[in-house]
Amino acid sequence: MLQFTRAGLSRSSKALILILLLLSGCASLKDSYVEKFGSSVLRTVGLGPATSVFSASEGMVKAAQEMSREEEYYLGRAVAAQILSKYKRNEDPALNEYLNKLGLALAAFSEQPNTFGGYHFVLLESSELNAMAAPGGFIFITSGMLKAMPDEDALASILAHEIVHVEKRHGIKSIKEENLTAALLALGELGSSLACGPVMQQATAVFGAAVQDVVDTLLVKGYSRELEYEADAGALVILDRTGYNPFSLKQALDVLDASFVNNHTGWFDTHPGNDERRERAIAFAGENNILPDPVGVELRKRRFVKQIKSGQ
Amino acid sequence: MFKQPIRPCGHFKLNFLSPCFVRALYVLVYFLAFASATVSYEMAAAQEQGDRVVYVETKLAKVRSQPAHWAPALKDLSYGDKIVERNRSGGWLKVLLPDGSEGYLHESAVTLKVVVLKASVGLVGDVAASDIVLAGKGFSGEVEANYASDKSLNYEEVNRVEQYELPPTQIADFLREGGLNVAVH
Repeated sequence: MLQFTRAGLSRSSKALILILLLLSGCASLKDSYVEKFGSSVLRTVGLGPATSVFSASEGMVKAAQEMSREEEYYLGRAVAAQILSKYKRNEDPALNEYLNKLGLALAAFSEQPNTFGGYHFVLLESSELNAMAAPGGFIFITSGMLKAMPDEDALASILAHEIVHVEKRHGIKSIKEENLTAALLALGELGSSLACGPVMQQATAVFGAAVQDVVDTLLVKGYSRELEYEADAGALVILDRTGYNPFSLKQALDVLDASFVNNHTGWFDTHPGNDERRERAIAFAGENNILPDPVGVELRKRRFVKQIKSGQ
Repeated sequence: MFKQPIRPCGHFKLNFLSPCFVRALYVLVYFLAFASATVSYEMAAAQEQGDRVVYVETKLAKVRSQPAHWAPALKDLSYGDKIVERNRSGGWLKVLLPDGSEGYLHESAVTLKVVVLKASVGLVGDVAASDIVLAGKGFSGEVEANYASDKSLNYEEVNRVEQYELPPTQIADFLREGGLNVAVH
């Protein structure tokens, strides 16, 4: 039995406690314990010079204060769980296969072909015109948006835009500063453990607040204009690399403008005005020697129309 | 202040506080260090000048036979796995596999930082702060489990979405049939 009386705590007891804490990840207890007893105890149990272990420990604390790709993945799963609680999936096999082939092909030409959990393209059953990306690689598009696109190249431009939101980690940038700070402070501890009840409750509360910020941005407020322009520019690059017509982005925006008369929700709530987006995208293309490439558009349009019809 | 006399280990009696137990831990830690050094030596034996070690930073990474997303997979690697990079070109790393053969990994699946798995915390050497990725910290599967238990969220659908997979060759065919580029970069 461990004795916790201040005077009577033996060296061997402290060694055991420290090892258990180091392995358990009960951070707050561990940090205070390392600070208090660390050097002598670590020497006792043969973990090498205390200075080496301490510098690694400080390093790990600092490393913990950055959101890792693994954490971004769990954040994205929670955002996806929220979206899939609000929208029903369209599970048509042919449409889902087509959507995922197209999306995964584009992702391979992005700056970040591999995310922690990979890219997943999800078709939502809704007449709303909308598309959104959760952190880590979950990309959603409504059946309304899919059917509103005139051809595969235009659909590709919408998906490429969403892939850039993932690639540039825009989801994390949408977390309110105070929640992000709280997350990094509260979660910047060395792991978490169900055994540490208060730490887990605090972590879960902070997690929930961060998830809600991302969901609000995706469904209600939208990203800042600058992030949208950045996503458009990145989409042009992906389209160009893949061989799609980069100027299909302009065509997609034209179609969305035409639909605005009848449909004011979804994309229109969360994306800036299309006029300035078109101007910025054209300027970016000019600066980066990205040219219109209509070769193959008709070929791809035929398979697009076939897929959309088969899914109706 | 905490000094205790060192006594020889006598008859067996399980006592977690005894000096015997501490010495046993001592032996265990040195054994782990020796085992780790042996593995490192085996990897180093096949290394050449200019090689460097990278860590897998995705849940799963496939080592491919060619520097292409659609090439056949030779081996699956997991988060935190350590692998030797031979060289890098066009976003692809040529890597050395444990059996001495070579394959290709895309650079977006790896990091030069040391990925520290939860079980290894405390056993890391003197590594700079900017060179560490802590696995299982913060927003982890444990936090998710706690979060999901409090809310009626559709994690079941999220899992179904994640399980959906397409063979890479089908994506290459899709690109080819659409008159698109098949070779990335």
